[in-house]
Amino acid sequence: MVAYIVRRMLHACVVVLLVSILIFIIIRLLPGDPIIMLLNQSTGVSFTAEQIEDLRHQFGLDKPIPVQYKDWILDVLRGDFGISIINRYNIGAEIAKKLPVTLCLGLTSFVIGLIIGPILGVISAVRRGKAVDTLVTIAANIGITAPQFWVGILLIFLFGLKLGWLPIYGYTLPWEDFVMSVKQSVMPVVVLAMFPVASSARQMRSSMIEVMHEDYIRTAWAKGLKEKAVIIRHAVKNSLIPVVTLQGLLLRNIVGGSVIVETVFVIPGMGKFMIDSMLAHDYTVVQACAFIMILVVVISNLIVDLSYGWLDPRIRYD
Amino acid sequence: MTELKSDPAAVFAVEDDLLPPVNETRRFFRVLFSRKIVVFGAAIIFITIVCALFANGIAPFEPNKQDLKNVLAAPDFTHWLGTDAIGRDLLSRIIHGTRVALLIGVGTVVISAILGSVIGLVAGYASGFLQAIIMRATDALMALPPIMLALLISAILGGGVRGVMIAVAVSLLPGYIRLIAGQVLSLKENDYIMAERSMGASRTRIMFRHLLPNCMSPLIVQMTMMMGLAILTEASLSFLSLGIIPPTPAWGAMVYDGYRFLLRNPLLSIAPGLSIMLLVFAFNMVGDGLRDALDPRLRGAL
Repeated sequence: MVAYIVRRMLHACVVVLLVSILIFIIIRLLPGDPIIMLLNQSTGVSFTAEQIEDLRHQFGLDKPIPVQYKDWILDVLRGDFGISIINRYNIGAEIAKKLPVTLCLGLTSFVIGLIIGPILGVISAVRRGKAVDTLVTIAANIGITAPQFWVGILLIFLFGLKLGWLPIYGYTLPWEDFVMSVKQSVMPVVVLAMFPVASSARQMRSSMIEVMHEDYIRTAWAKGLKEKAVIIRHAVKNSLIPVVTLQGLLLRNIVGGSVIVETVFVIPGMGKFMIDSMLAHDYTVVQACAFIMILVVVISNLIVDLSYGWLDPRIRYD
Repeated sequence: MTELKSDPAAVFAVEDDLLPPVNETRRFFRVLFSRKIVVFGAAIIFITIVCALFANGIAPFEPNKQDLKNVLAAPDFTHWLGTDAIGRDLLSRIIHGTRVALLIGVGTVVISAILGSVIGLVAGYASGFLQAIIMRATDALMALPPIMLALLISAILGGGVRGVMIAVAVSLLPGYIRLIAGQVLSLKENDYIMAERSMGASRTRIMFRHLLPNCMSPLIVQMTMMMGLAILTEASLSFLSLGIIPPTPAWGAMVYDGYRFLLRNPLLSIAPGLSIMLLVFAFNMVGDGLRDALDPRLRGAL
C-alpha cells in the first residue's frame, strides 16, 4: 500500500514536470514579444536599443530556453512565480488571492456532481423506462451537450436580468460575506456542476442496470431483503466504482470550465486571470496560471486514485 | 410441441436453421435507426450539411452585409431572427455558421483520428522504451484540461480556421492514442497475430492490415462522439475571442457578441447557442446509435 502511494506520487511528479516543460515551450512560442508590448504601452517615452536589451536581461529573456526553464522551475519550487512583465505585480501574491475563488467554486461543483449525479442515476435505473427515467436521461443529455457559456448567459438573462433574483457578476469569498457569496455562487456553480452531474448520472445509470442483473443481486432478492436494502447496500455500492473512475476526468473538466464560467460571470479567479493574461500577452502570468491549474488537476486525480482502494477492497496494489 | 417450447435453446436452434442469412448492411441500418432519437440526430446532421453546402442559396441575406439603419432590429418577416449590432441578419449568419462548425468538427476529428491511430498503434505494438515515452507523454497531456491545451495552441497560432483546427485536433489527440493503444494491447495477444508473425509478416503489415481494421468500430464511434466535443471546443474558443476571427460567422463568437444586447434582443445570444447544442446533441446521439449498431459490447466502455 505504502509502496503504491509512493509510486503514484512519483508518477504525479513526473506528469507535472512533463506538462510544465510542455507549457513552458508552448508559451515561448506565443506571438508578441512582451518587452515590445511593454514599451508600446509607455507612449511618449522612447527607449534606446540598449535599454531594451537591459530589460530583456532583467527578465532573463536573453538566456537560452532550457536555462530559462531551469531558473523558472527552481523559483517556482521555492514558491516564487516572479513578477508580471506587463503590469509589474507579484504573480505569486495575485495567485494567492485568485486561487481560493476558483477552488471554492470548483470544489462546490465537484461535491454537487458527486452527490446529485449518482442519486439521479440510481433513481433513473431503478425506475427504468418510466417517466422519471426519460426525464433524467434527457436532462443528462442536455447537461453534456449544452455549451457552458451559453447556459451561463441564459441564466443571467432569466434570473439576473428578467427576474432580478441573483447578482449577474462578481464573487465574494464565503468567509467575507456568506449570504452574498451564496447568491453570487448559485449560477456559476450550476453551470460548472452541469457536466459532472450529467456524466455521473449517466454512468451511474448504466452501471446500475448492469449490476442489477448480477447473481448476488438475485441472491439478495431471494433472501427476502427489502428493496431499499438490495439497492443501497448491494447494488449502489458496487455500481459506484466506475463512477469514481470518472471523477478524475470530471475534475479536469471543472478546472477547464472555470476559464469559461469565470469569463461569463466576471469572477476574479484563476480562469479569468489566465484568459486576461493571454489576451494581454503576459507570458509569465499565463505560465504560472497553467502550472497551478495542472497542479490542481494532478493532485485531485491522485486523491481520486487513492480513494479507490478504500472504496473497492478488491483492488490490489501491485 | 410442448416439449420443444419448454426448452428455449432447442427452439432457437431450429429457428436458426430455418432463418435466411441476415443481410449485414440491412441489420446495421435497422439497429442504427431503431431509436427515434437517433433518427432525430441524423436529421439534424443532414439539415446542417445541406445548410453548409448551400448556405448562399438558403440564407435570405449576405452574412456580412451591414445595414446600419436597421441595427438590433426585433424579429419580423424580413429578418426572422432580427439583426445584430451592426445590422447583419442573424438567421443568415447562423446558416453560414454551419460551415465553420462542420469544417472544424469534421476536419479536426479526421486529423486527430489519423494521427492518433498511427501513434496509438505504434505505442500499443512497440514495447519498452518507445511505448513508455509515448504513454507517459499521453498521460501528461491528459492531465491538461482539453480546453486549456486548445486555448494555448490557438493563441500561439493566432486563431482563424486553420489555427483553431490544429488547436482542437491536438487537444483531442491524447484520447485517440489511449483508445487505440489500449485496443492494440489486448488485440496483439490473439492467436491470429501470432500466426501472422510466425509466417514472417512485417510489423507494418501486422499493424495496418490486422490490428488497425480490428480497432475500426471503437474508432468510428469515438470519432462521432468527438465531433460534438470538437464543435463545443471551437465554440468556446470563439466565445473567448481566441478562436475564429470576427467577420467569419462562428456560433461561439455570435453568442459572445449578443451577450451585451441580452435585453434588446436575447435571440442574438440564444439562437446561435441553441444551434451549437442541437448539433452537438445530434452527433452524440448518432454516436450512441453507431455504437449499438457496430458493436454492442462497447456499451459503457465508450
